[in-house]
Amino acid sequence: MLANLDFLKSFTKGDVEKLNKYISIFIDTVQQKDIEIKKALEDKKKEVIKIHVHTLKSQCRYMGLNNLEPLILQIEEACGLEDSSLDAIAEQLSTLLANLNQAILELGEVIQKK
Amino acid sequence: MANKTERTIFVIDDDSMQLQMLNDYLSQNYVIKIHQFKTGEEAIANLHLNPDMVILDYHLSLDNSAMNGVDVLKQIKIANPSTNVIILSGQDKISVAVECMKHGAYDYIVKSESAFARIENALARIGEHLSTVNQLKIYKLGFRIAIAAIVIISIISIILVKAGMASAKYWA
Repeated sequence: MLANLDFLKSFTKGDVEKLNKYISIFIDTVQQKDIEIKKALEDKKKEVIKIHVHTLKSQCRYMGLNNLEPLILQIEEACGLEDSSLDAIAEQLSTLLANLNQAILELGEVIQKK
Repeated sequence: MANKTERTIFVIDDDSMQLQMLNDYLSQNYVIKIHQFKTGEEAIANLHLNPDMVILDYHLSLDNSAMNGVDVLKQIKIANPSTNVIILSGQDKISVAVECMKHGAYDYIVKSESAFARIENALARIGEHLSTVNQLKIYKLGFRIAIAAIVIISIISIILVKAGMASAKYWA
């Protein structure tokens, strides 16, 4: 499993309802950001991509998806540079979104089990 | 912190998860009135509620015309310089933190697993500070009352002495 729910479990102190609530918010956010990031990529708006990815960064930290942080930081940095290649950013985003979609698939199963 | 005195706190963040986690955390651990806002504009429009403290996201909106965290911080400080504002940010950059502190932020906390413990510490320090300020106000008020009482007693004494002297003269 990509996500590590140790922090959330400790934060919710074993309250399964709350844990599921946070996981659901994360799933919704990823699904929404997936659409918005792809749209921003089509429009070649690097600044917008940067802001969407930034929102995902803190949520990933809470969901224990720490292994995605270096990639998110790389994308944020590249989006902040005027002369960065959009193709390279698109490739990084594709990896990021694939990982996030895999994570929400697994997290969806966690909610169903409970 | 606010276990004895109910305080008002504003939480301003456009991230639903952060907003929900902060709301749950604060309402579980403190006796406080929490007002949540997704934009800086909404929060500014409600400053008449006199928040004791504010937890404010640094990156507030995708919309370039909307207020960002520093804009909101400046407005809050103009409206009431003594309001304590904690900046919450996904940016782990010293330059950003310094910018916020320069504009009067009480603390700068990076959104991470340790953020809630740091918020708890900051709220405890703010709570102690507010209690000290309130105590100081009470002492100042007590001091003023004591001075006023001394002045009134002195005036009454003078009047009584003068009246006594006038009466003595009359009878003499």
